[in-house]
Amino acid sequence: MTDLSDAAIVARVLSGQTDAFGVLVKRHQDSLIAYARHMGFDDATAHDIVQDGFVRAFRHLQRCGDPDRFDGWVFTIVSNLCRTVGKKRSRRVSEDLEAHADHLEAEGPGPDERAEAGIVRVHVRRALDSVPAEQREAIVLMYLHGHSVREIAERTDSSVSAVKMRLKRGREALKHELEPFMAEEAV
Amino acid sequence: MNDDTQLERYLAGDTSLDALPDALQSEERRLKALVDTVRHDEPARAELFESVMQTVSTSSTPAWKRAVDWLFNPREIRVSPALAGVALAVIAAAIILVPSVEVPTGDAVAGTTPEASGVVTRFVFIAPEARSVSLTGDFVEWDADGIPLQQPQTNGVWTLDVPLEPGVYEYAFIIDGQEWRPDPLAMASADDGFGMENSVVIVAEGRT
Repeated sequence: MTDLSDAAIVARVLSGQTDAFGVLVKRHQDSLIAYARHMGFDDATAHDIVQDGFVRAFRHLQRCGDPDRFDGWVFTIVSNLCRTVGKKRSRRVSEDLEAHADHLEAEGPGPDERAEAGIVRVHVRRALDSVPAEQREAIVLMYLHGHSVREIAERTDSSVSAVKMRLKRGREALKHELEPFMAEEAV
Repeated sequence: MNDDTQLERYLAGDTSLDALPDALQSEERRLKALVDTVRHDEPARAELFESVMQTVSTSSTPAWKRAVDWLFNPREIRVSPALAGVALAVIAAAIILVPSVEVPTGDAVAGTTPEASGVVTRFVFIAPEARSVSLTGDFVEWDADGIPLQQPQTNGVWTLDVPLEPGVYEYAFIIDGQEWRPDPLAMASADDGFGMENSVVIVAEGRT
């Protein structure tokens, strides 16, 4: 069954073969988990969000207008959940990152490259977190998931021009936040 | 062509990174490298798959539907002739010996039947062309079959009365078993998280 298209599997699930849904889960779970993590959620929360997303997708599978694009549809569900959960957690995530950054900075730059890389990573996460959600989403989907502007527009239900603008503004904001690290030797 | 325009063309995918001026190219490579430090390539944990499949397997048939199926699906009941005879005798004795019982009428009956324990709420959907209209919502765990509305005689107005406990519910109509639509007559709507809207009904105490 693993060689069937998403549309064929969706049809099987809708006809009552609940187990077939597992193929869709295995096929798309890694990219969705990566996306949720990239949007700033810790591992446990990312798993909770994606699990909730798949369960919602199953319960509302008849609403999947184009089963060939199941991946985009389930992505939309997870993306919306990320926004909902993000609104509730944004303050706490920022506070956690601040605490983590302070802790790493207190250690100071030393010979330990992992510690330095950790500092950079925390600053990048903090910078991404400071970018407005829609711009962050566009940046993550392009830089980390390799999607084109058109693909991002489809996945986020936005116009191509809106995505271009989000990318441009998000990139500017990110560059500004990461100014101290823009020199080559910073990492 | 200035840097801004070239960058916009690059971000839009109209030109490659190598085609950018050196300074811009270097800046973009640097930014990508920085963003890449937060890349997570670890796969999803195995528990995710197990949790999802466990949940969907138990939720594929809602409890209310299993109860309805149990009530209405015909089944074979085996009874010995002796037991059947005793049962018939008991029923006959009850009819003959027990004096007539005054049956309460109207509201008194309605108020005590389990079906009427909730507030009867009428759902209406106008669809003259539809072959079937069903109601689904959080009160039936978004069952994809829904509860069928009563077919209209002439005017295309589909109706259904559902007893609901007081509270706030989200719902939608399913047209011809496929198309999900919100209620244009709904008192409120809510984002359904799928890029569409659910309708919202508020059931107050004593509303009928």
